[in-house]
Amino acid sequence: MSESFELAVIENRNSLVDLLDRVLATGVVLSGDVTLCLAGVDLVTVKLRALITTVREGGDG
Amino acid sequence: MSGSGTYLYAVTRPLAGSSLEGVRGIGGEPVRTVAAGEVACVVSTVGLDEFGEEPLQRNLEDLAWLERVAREHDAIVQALADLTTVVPLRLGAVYVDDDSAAARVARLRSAALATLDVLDGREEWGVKVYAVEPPVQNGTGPADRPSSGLEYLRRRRGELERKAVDAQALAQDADSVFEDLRTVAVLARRHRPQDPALSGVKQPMLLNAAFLVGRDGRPEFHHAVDRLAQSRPEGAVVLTGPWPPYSFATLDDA
Amino acid sequence: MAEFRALPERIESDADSIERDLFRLVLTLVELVRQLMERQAIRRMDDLDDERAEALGTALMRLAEAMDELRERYGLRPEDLNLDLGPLGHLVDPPGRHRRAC
Repeated sequence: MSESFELAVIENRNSLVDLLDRVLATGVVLSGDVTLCLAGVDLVTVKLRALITTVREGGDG
Repeated sequence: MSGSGTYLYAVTRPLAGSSLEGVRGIGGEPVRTVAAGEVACVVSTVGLDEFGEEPLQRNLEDLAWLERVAREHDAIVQALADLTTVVPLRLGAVYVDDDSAAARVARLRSAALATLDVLDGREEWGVKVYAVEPPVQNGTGPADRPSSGLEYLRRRRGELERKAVDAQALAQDADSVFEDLRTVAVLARRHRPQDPALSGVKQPMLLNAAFLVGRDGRPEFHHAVDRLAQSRPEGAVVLTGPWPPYSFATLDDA
Repeated sequence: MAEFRALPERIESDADSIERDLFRLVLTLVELVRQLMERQAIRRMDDLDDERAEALGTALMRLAEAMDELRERYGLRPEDLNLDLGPLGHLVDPPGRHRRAC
């Protein structure tokens, strides 16, 4: 079977995120933290989840 | 937590045990079948220290663990798909033992058989569409300082409304792409757009969709995707596949 | 939802840059709050009488100008204050980028 694609990009199946879309029952969320460190020592971690929840409630499209 | 459990990969029609010779399951245990009436469960033994309820919840949040196990799971499902029609299960279907897995599948027997009939001779293809950004517009609004507080609010409102209109246009665009491709597929399903931090792609994803296509229908479907790509900038349309029909086998939702 | 701890964004500092880096974090959070307030004000502006809307608008405009000034004082560009809110996109849009508006 020979086909040529002119313009669509074909990706092979190595993409982890494509696989996770399919094999996980629920979605995937990355939670981000911001960590301040000084001289290699982690001092403060600001957890952004509470902020994200607030913003999400404000206006999900 | 110690002891072992039965990990269920997929449901198929009865398979000769010999066809699975040499197929290794997660963690290297042999993959085997367990009969459940007119269908077969494809399973392997796993440790509950890793796949018991609590350890599994923890491990699912470990991206490195998840990557390894997801790929192993997929390798087995793909090996099965090469042999026969597969109703894949999602990651993490673990039962106390073989009998328990078989009993569960036996209860879902008619759904499984119906799904197998739908999936015969068909495969899944993924289509992702990205928004390629328009050229930067340098200040569509006035460049001078707003003359009053009200003026400032009005301008900001205008900007936000324009953004909302743009976003709506993109959403409608995605809908129409989905509907167009659906006409050349057997079944279609949308997934959530992918998180850029996971996919590594900065451009917003407009559409993340899966299509069930008959093997005979593959050229027509691919042609439709290619035609779609013609009307868009380079790289905006990405095709992935063929996949085992993960997105159309909702046995574990039953 | 399966939730992952992404590799945290690190603001690494030595003693020299700690001030600038702390400032960056503070300004980023202020920017987040400023945008939330602005969006809320815009939602409500038609319900307010002209005088209050004017006062609110002026306050927000001055706040935006103060933010620009503070940012520039520390040599930070708008993109430096960007917060990656994961699936919600980024706090600061580069010009021309589409994003769902609240």
